[in-house]
Amino acid sequence: MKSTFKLIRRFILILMLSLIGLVVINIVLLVGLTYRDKSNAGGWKAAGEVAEQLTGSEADGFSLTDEGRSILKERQAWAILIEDGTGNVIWNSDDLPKEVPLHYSAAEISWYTRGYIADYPTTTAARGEDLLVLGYPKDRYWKLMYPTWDYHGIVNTPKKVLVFLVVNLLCIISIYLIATSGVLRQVKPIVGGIEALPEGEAVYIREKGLLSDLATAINRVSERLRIQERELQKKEMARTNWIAGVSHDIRTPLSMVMGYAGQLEEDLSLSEENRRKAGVIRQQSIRMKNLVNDLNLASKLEYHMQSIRREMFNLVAVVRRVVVDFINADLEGKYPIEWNTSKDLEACMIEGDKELIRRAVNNLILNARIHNPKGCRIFVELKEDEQKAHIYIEDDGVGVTEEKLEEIQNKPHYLMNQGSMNKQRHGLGLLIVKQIVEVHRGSVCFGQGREGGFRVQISLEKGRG
Amino acid sequence: MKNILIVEDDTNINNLLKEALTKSGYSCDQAFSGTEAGLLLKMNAYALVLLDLMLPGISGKEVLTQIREKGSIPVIVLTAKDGLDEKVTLLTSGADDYITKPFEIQEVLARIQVQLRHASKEPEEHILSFRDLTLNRDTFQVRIGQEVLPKITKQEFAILELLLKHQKQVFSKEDIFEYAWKEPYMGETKTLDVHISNIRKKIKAVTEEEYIETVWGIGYRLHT
Repeated sequence: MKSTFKLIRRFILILMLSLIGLVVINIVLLVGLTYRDKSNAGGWKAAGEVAEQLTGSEADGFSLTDEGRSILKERQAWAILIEDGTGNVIWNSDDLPKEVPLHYSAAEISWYTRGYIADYPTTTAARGEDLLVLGYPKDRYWKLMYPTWDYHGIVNTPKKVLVFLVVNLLCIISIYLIATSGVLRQVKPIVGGIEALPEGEAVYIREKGLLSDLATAINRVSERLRIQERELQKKEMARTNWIAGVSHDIRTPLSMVMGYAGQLEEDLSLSEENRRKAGVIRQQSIRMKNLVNDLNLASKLEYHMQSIRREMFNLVAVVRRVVVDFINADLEGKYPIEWNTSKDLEACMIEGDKELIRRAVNNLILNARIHNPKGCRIFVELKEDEQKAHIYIEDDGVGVTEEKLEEIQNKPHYLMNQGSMNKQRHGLGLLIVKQIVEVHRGSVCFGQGREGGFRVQISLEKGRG
Repeated sequence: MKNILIVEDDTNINNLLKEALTKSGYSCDQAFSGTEAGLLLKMNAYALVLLDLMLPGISGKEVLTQIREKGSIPVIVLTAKDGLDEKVTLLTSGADDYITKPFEIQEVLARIQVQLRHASKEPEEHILSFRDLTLNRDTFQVRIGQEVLPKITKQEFAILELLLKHQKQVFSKEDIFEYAWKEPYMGETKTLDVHISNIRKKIKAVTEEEYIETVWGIGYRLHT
C-alpha cells in the first residue's frame, strides 16, 4: 500500500512541475513571438508627425519637409489635408491613389478618421483647424471599427481571468485524477501481489486490463513458489520420516542388547570381569538410546514437525521438578545441585510447551554431568524481569575453551550443515536446547561459568495473563 | 504367583521379557499378535498386560480398548515411538503406564511392581515408619517412639506420609503441595513452610532429633 501512495505523490509532483513548466514556456513564447510587434504600430503618432512637418498655408501653398517625406516613404503611406468647414482636400501627397475622393462630408470624416478610405487604413491628426489623414497600404493595419467595451466588462476582467484559471486548473486536475486513478486501479493489485509474495502467501491477481502481462507473470511466480515450497516440505518430511524410521528400527535390537547385557551384568555365575564388561555394554547402549531419542527430536524440531502444545505454566515448578529428579537419581552424590533462586520467586508463568522446556533444562543439567565424569557442583538459578524469565545453569567443572564456546555458539550442527562431518562436533543435547528455545522465541547464551565451568542462560518471554 | 501377559510381535523381545519376568518370579504367557492376545485374555485371567502397540492384525490400541471394556487390568504399553505427543495420547486412552523402547529390564520390572501394587488394592502398608517415627494410616496417628504427636492436621499427615513412603527421595514443593492439598501449586510457599514448621515444632516437643531436612529452595526430604 505504501508504494501506491508513493506513486500518487510522484504523480502529483510531476503534474505540478509540468503546470509550472507550461506557464513559463507560454510566457517565454508570448514574449518571443510578439517582441517585434508594436502596439498600435505607431500609426497615429506618424500622422501627428507628418502634420507637424507640413509647412505653409492654403494661400501660399503647402510643402512637406524632407523629414515628412521620409516618414511617408518609410510607411509607404499617402497623406491628404482636409479643410475645416468645406471638407475639401487642400493638400495631398504625390502618390495619392486615384480612388481616394477629394471631398468629404462631416459624416464621412467621422468615419474615415477611425477607419478606412477606399479600403486603405487611415489615421488622422489635427493640423490647426484642418484634418490631416494618413493612408497606409491595405495590408498594413487591421482596424476594428466599433471598439466599445462595457465598463464593467473591463473592471471585472481580473476576476474573470481568475475564474478562468481556477476552472482550468480544476479541469486539469480532475482529468489527471480520472486518468491516474484508472492506472492506479490497474497497478494496485499488482503492487499488492508483489508485496505479498515474500510473505509466502498464495497470490492470485486477475489477469485483465492494461497490465495483464504483469499479473500473469506474478501469478506464475507465486504458483512456482508454492510448488517449490511443497517440494521442500516433502523433502523435509521425507528426511524427518527417514530419521524417525531409522531410530524406530534401532530401538528393537537395542532393547535386546540392553536387556541381555543387563541380565549378564546381574548374573552372579559370571566372573567379575565379564560382568563389568556387560555393564559397559549396557551403559553404552543407554548412550545410544539417548542419542536415538535426541536425533529424532532434533530432526523434528529442525523441520517443524514437532507439534508444540502451548499452555501457561509455572516455570519455577517445571525447573524444580527437573532438579529434584536429578537429586533423587544422583545416588552417589557426585553432582550436588544448588538452587540459587530467590525465595520470593515462587511462580513465574510463561506460555509454551512444558514438556519441551523440561527437556531443555534436563539436557543442560545432563550436559554438565556428561562433561564432568569426576563430578561437579551444578547451580540452577531463575530470575525474572519485566518481560522475561531467565534460567541460568552453571557448573564448576572442567568448563570450555573459547574456541569450543565459539563453536557451540555459532557453528551449525552437522545435522543442519551441508559441510563435511569429519570434524567432531558437540552432541545433540545442546542443539536440542537451542531448537527448543528457538521455537519459544527465546534466546540462549553459552558462556564460561564464574567458577570455571560452563554456564548457560536461557531467556524466555513471560506469558501474558 | 502373578500371571502376566506379554503381547509383543517381535519374538526376541517377547522371549527376553519372558525370561526376565520368569526369573523375577512371575508366570508369563506370550502372545505374538493382537488376535492371539484377544484369545488368551478371554481364556485366562491376568494380573497385568505388557502391550506392544505395533502389532500385526488387530492393533495394540484395539487390544487396549478390548481390555478396558472388560475391566481394569493394569496395562503397560511398550512403544518404539518417543514422540512427546504419543505419551499423552497413550495415558488418556487407557494405558496405566508406558515404556519406550529401548528399555532397561530393571525399569520394566520396577514399573510392573508399581502397577501391581496399585492394582492389588491391598491397602498399602498400614504403618509407615522411619527411625522412631511411625505413621498409622488407619488411625491417622503419628508417633515418635510411644509418644503420639498431638493435633496432626490432614495436610501435615499427608506431608509426612509422602516423605515416609519414599524415604530417600527429595520432594519438590510442588510435589508436596499437590499431594497434600490435592490442587495445583501456584507458589503458595508460605502455606507449605508454615505446615512444615508446625510439624517440626510438634516433633521437637517430643525429641531433639531432626526428622525433616530442608533442601534449600527446592523442597524437603527425610533427614538421614
